[in-house]
Amino acid sequence: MKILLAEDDTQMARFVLAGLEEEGHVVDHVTDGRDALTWCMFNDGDVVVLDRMMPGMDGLSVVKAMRAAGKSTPVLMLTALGDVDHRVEGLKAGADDYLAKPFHFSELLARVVALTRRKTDTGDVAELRVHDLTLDLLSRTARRQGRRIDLQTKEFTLLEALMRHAGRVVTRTMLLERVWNFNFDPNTSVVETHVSRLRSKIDKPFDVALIHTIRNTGYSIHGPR
Amino acid sequence: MDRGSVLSGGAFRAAVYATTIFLATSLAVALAGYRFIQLSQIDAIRDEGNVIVQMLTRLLEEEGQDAFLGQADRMIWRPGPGTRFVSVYDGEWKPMAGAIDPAALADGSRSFVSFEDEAGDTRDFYVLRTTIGAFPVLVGIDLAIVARIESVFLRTLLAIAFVMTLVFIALGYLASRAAQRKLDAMGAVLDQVADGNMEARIPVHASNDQIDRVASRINGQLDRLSVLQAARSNSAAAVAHDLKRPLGRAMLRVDQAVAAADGEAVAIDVVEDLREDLVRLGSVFDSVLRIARIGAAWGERLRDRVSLHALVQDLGETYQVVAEETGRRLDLDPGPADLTVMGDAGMLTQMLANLLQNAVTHGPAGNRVTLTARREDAGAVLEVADTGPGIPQDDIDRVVAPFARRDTARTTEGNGLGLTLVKAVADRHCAALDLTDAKPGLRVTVTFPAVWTR
Repeated sequence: MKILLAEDDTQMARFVLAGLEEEGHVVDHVTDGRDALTWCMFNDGDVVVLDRMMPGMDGLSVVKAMRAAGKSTPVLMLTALGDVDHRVEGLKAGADDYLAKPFHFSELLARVVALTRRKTDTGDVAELRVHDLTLDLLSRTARRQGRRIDLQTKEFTLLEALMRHAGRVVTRTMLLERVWNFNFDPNTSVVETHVSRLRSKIDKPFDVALIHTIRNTGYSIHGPR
Repeated sequence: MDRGSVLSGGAFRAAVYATTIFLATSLAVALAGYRFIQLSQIDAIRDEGNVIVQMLTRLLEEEGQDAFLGQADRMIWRPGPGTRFVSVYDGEWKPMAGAIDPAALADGSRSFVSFEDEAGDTRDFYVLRTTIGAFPVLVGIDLAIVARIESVFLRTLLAIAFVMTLVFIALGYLASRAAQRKLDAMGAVLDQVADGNMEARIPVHASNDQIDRVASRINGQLDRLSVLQAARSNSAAAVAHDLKRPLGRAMLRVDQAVAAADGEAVAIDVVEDLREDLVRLGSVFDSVLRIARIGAAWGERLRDRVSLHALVQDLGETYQVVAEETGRRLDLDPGPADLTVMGDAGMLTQMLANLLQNAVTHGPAGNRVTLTARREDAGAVLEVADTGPGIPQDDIDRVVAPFARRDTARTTEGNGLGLTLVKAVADRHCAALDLTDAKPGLRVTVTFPAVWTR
């Protein structure tokens, strides 16, 4: 994937750059907001990772300018300002996701990957499918091998979040945000207990496990590889 | 207390102004009153004179000159107040009957005349000059009574003015002195606070006047300041302790990782533990920042209408799963479906999550937790009760202070800020936070003000 990293903290940028390249992505790095905007205008990147505070032009302005010019490249905004109001501001300006510093690299990676498929994503689909598991979004029902599985509201939303990113890693923080709308760390195993429940309904009665734990990062749902 | 302060006090000044105005007004009233009394007395006397003239005229007409003159003689000048006299003269102004002495009255046309009587006292008279038949007649009426009335009036007014002035000034002085005392007390307390005695408070009296009200408000601010100070000094020690611990471990683990660099699997375990500690570190920071931001936003209005029913249902279901996985049980009572409060949805979610986390993760297995929302007269109530070990009543106040923890709880993880954040959110919503011994267990009750409940 072609990624732009716009971050003026060069030490941090070095780590992120190295990590992304290790994952096989092609990464360009700029340290000034104006350069970031120029890059976006003349390149067809897959994802832009944009720091909110930058010299030259701040992240919010860059996104606004991008969107005004019709550029729909997915943007992940990085910031030290992690509270809800700033988050809403960033998303309103046109960013697709918002990650507070400090973060784990695995978190950044998972979100970057989650953004790249957005263009061809399962936005208005009525049904999601992974291997022999289908999720009917209209009737809010799950079936595996034809058998109907009884899911509670949160379990359904959790499964949906995993299946929309099938094959990719969804981090704990992403799940807390998307399934529970928690903008804080609840210090309890909210995600773990729910995934465990889900597994007992989706995986245990069947021979192939679909839900996988990626250590220290998150979860992923996919069929056998 | 110095006199200068008292004399410059508002109450005293007001009294001085009041007195000045009162005296000026009294003076005006006195002058007007005096004049009025004078005039009305003169009128009365003139009327009386006219009555006497009419009587004498009738007498002359009906009974003749001798009766007339005889009557005039009877009305002679007697010593004492209230005297009336009549003087009848002939055509050449020679006295014919009546008062003997005032021959001097014959001349002139003055209505007010004074002369000496036989005792040597000066008497004032009102003299009515007229003609009855062919006789010039003078009728005189003693003005002593008028003088008496005037004198009484003036003396009374003077006495009142004097007394009122004294009273006003005295009241003003006393009021100013009382106020000065209160202000001195206020100043003394604030000095004490500045010196570091955070417990000092301004005495508030039952009279509840303006100064007392300001004193109450200052006391409220001092309470808040005191809590902040305490938190700060607690935090300084506790933060140092809580943050250094994972930091210390992180350092050691880095050393370990470096030393174990050739045993790859071991290194990965160590590094992962290190990451966990750093995550925890970050979490403490986040909580502290969150609490600080909540406190700083105190003046802003709350904008969401949050359904407590939905909050309980939603969060309750999530934590029911967590509870069951750890061998505990959470019962929900979401209350009336239309129960809402004005607030910040995000903050309330975090607050309730903190409370539920405390309840479902502490205490023995088999702990039963109940989450309730209900409407009361005081407002909307959110309550979390568990049947765990609870907190002794004496410890309850300490528990809410930042980083304060009961000694046994020190061994469990969590960052010690859970209840502090709950208190911060409750305060932000002007809600009362009560922790009570549920015997057994702990009951945490958050009561939102009725004015923001619907």
